[in-house]
Amino acid sequence: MEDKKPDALLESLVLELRRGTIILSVMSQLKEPQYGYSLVVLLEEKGIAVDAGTLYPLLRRLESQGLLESSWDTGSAKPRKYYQLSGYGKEIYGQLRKSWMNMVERMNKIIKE
Amino acid sequence: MDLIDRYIYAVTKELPSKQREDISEELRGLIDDMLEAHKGDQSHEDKIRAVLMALGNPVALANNYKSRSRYLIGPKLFDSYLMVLKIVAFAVFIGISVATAVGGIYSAEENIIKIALEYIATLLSAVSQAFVWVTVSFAIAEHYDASDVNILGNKEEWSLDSLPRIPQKEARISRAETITGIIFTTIFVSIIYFYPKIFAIYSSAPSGMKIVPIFNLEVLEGFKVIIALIFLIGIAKETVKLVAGRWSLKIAIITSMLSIASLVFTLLVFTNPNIYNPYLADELKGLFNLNLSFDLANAQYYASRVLIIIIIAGSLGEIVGALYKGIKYNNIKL
Repeated sequence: MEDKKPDALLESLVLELRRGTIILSVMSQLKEPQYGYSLVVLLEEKGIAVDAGTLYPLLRRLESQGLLESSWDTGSAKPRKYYQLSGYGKEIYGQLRKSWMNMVERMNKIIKE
Repeated sequence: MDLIDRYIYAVTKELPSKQREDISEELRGLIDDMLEAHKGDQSHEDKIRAVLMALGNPVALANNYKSRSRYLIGPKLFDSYLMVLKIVAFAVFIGISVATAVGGIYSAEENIIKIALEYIATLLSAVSQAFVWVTVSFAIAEHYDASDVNILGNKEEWSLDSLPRIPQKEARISRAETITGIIFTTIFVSIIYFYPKIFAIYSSAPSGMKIVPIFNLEVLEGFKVIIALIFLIGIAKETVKLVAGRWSLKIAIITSMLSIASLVFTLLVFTNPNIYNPYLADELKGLFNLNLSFDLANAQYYASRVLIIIIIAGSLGEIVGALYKGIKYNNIKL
C-alpha cells in the first residue's frame, strides 16, 4: 500500500487506481451502522487508508444518491451521525461486488499473461 | 476551541446553507474523535494544531463537499470563448484604429501626441469592455448550459440513427463567414460606441475643414447600453453558428430570433429622431450655400427612412436566408 517511490507519475497512477475502489471499500463496511471516524479507523485496521477529508464528503454523496441512510445519535455525550447501507444500497453493493470479482479475475488473467 | 471553530467555518462558509449546520456538527465530532485518538503528551493546543493540519487545507475539504462544477466558462465552451475573444479583440483594434485614422485626418486637432493618447485610451477602454462583454455572454451561456450539445439537439439517448449526416457542403456554416460577421459587427459597434463623431459630413471650406456630425452625440450617449446589447446579441448569434458549424432548423430558428431581437433594438436607436443632429439641415445649408428647390429637412427625414428600410431589409434577408438553409438542410431530427 504505502509506496514510497519518488516517481510522481507512478504515484498518481496508483492513486487513480485506488480512487475507484474507495466506494466499494466504504460500502463493504456499512452493513452495520458506523459513524465517520469509526469507519476511518475500521478501514485503516484492514489496511485501506482513506483520509477523513475524502471519506466524510463521500458518505454524504452516497447518502444523497440513496445508497446510504443516516441518523444522528444524540443520546450519548457526543452527537454522532451514523451511516448504513440502505435497502437500495445493499442491492447495489451486491452487484458492485460481483462486478469487482469479475474484474479482478479478468485483470489477474490479463496481467499474468 | 477557537482554532477548531475557525477551521470549521473556513470549510463550511461557502457550502449551501441547508447543509452547513449538519456538516459543521459532523466535522466537530470528527475533530473531537481525532483529538482523542491523538497519542502523545503534547499540550491540548498542539494536538488541535496537529489534527487540523492532518485534515488538510479547508478549501480542499470544502471542494470535496461541493458537487457542482465551479467555473465561469467550462471546458465545452472554452475553445469557442478564446476564439471569439481573439476575433473580437482584433476587430475592436481595427475598428478603433480606422476610426482614429479617419477622425485624425479630418480633425481640427493638430497635436499628434494628444491624438495618440486619446487613441491609446480609447483602445484600452474598448478592448477591456469587449473582454467583459464577451466573458459575460459566455458565462451566461455556461450558466444556462447552452453548450453545443444542447444547442445542437437532443439530450436524449443517442442512437446510430441520430448521428447527423455529414453536411452537404452548402449546409456547412463557414468559419470565415461567421468570423467576418463578428469582425464587422465589432468594428461597426466599436466605432458607434466609442467614436460616433466620425459619422459626419466633411467638407473643406475657406475657413478650414468643416465637420457636420450626423448624430447628436449627447443623445446617442444615452443609448450606449442598447448599443452594447446589440453587440452582445450579434456576438451570441455568430457564436451559435460557429459552435454549430452547420445549418439546421433549430440553428436557423435560434439565429432568426436573435436577428429579430437585434433588429428591434437597432430600430429603437435609429428611429428615434433625437439621435440625429438637429442642426444637420441648417448647417449643411450654410455650409454649401445651398439654394435648393426642396426642403433639406425633408430630405434628411427621407434619408433616415431609407436607412431604416435598409436595416430592416438587411435583417429580413438574413432571417429568410437562415430559415431557407435551415429548412433545406435540416436532416437531423429536432
